[in-house]
Amino acid sequence: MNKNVSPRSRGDTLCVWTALVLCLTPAAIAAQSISDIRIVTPRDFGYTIGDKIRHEMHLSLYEPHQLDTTTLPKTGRLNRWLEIAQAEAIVEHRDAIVFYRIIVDYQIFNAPPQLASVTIPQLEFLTTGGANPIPVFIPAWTFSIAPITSPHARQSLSLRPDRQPHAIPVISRSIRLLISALLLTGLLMYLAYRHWLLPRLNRERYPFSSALAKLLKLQRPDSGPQNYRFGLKAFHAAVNATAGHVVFAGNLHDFLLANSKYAPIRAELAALYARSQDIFFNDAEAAEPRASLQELVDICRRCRTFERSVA
Amino acid sequence: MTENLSSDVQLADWQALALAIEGALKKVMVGQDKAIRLLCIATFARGHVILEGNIGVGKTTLLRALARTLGGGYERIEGTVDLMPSDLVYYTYVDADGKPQVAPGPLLKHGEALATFFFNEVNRARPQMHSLMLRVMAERSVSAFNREYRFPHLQVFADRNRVEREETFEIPAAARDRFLMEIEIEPPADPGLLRDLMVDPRFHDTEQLLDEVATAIVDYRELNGVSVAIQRNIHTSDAIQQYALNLCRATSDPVALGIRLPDTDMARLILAGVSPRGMSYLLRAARVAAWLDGHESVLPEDVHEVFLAVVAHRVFFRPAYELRRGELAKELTEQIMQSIATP
Repeated sequence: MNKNVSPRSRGDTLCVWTALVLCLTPAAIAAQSISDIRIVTPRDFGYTIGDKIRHEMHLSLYEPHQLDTTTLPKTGRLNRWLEIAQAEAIVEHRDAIVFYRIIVDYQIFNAPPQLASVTIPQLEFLTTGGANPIPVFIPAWTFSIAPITSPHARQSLSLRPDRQPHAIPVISRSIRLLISALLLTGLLMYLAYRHWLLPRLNRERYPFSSALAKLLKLQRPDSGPQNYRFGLKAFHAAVNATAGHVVFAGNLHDFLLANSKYAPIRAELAALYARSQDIFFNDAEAAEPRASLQELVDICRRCRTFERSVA
Repeated sequence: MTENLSSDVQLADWQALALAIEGALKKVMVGQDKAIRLLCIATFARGHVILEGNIGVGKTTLLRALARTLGGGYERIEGTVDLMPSDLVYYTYVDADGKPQVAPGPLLKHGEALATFFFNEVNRARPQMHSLMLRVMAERSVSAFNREYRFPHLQVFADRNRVEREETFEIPAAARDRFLMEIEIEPPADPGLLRDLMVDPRFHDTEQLLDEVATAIVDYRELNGVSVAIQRNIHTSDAIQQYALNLCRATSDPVALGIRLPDTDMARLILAGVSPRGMSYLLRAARVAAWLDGHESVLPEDVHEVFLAVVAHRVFFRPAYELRRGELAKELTEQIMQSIATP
């Protein structure tokens, strides 16, 4: 058994506890499991509220023995002076020996009115892997905590006002937001123009173009009398929109006088109005709905050409 | 259509007779073709008519000429502020033997043969008279001497001049709605015709002029049957029915069609639009118009032909606009017809 007395490896106080440990465990058992144990503690004076104190335990175990990490201390409040901020074990295997570096960080969260002596209680770990668990004891450690003010000054102390929050520069973000808003507005305006305003303007400016689009949609292999009736309505609506008032068979002549560019198809329009009158008011049916619809499309197409021409 | 006619009335023959009446009236009333056509339509639709126009435009002559062509009893009464309902029902006198006698008044004199009753200057008569006429027009009957007198062939014509408004009683809305049409009689627009009226001695003597009009071109007792046959046989498609309905509904809310009249607050113009009775009268008159034009079905132009005459007096304006009724009603109906599409 290596009863190792470690040299001073740091500026902090280094204590060797091995003998003490062995005193607390059956010597034969401990000799078979523990290769080495060293405990490194810092200075034991000069602490105030908020300071952290780190204890490091270097434990070497013969395999298959190993540290039961569930026996490490839990983080959280320890007593009225201290809390355990961190407790962990770092493992390394080398030549059938397991090296453990156990780190326990304590933090002082209380300030005494005058210099006080505080003790970190004894810790106990267990090893596993042997016939029985072997306890490893870390003895208590005492240190002193100093107040942060003099007893007289405590009477006149008052809380300082809260520190003002640090201003984050947001100008660049505002500019980015503004640019994004402008881009989004522009996009929405374009979409409204493209899909809402433009079709309406075209419908008003070019009623026959709009009517032709509807007629082409009505042209299907199964087009029946109903399609032809819808087509006639669309065509009449285009003529009415062009005239600015309702055009009937009776005032078609006036329409052609006022819109002379449509005069070349006067006969076709007159025949169409007569047929429409028969269908809508005499309840006649188109004999060949598909052919009639095609004829209507042809007339509408010619009207579209006229409407885009200069009168 | 011909098969139906043979079972009812020979509508084609009657159309010729109607056109003959129209021709006879045109001979004595020059420049009034539209008013004459409307009068014929009203006659064959069996509707009562108000004539409105300036003084001396021939309203009375036109009605007397129409009465001659129809045959049957004709009576006329002048509306005055002291006229009472009893004046239409009876009058009293002392006979040759010095005994007091009661005789039937103008309304009862002809009994069921009364075909044409002309109420001249109807707006000069008191509301009591309007009330009596309302019943006569609506029910074609009146109660007197403990019994009911019926006038199955009666057609009432009323006349009012638009020049004088003092000491007049405006016809109430309910009475106005009973009239099928309000026909405006304007002087001929053609200067040549006006000169003829001024120069030609033929037009100077009304009695002699009326003698030229053929009497009893039709049998007034058959007019009701002919009217029923016309209504049954002239077809109205779904499209024209919807169109007529849209026209009538537009009179209640012209703003919805975007109609604007000059110097008018459109939101405050209309009190009430055309009544359901007015809607039925519109199609009734349109069927007769179609029949006179030789159509088998009612076409939009048939509706247009009667729209102003049937609808204008049924649209009720707010009092602030009543004085401009003639101008506003004409413009309103014109714009409605130009705004509502069919099909």
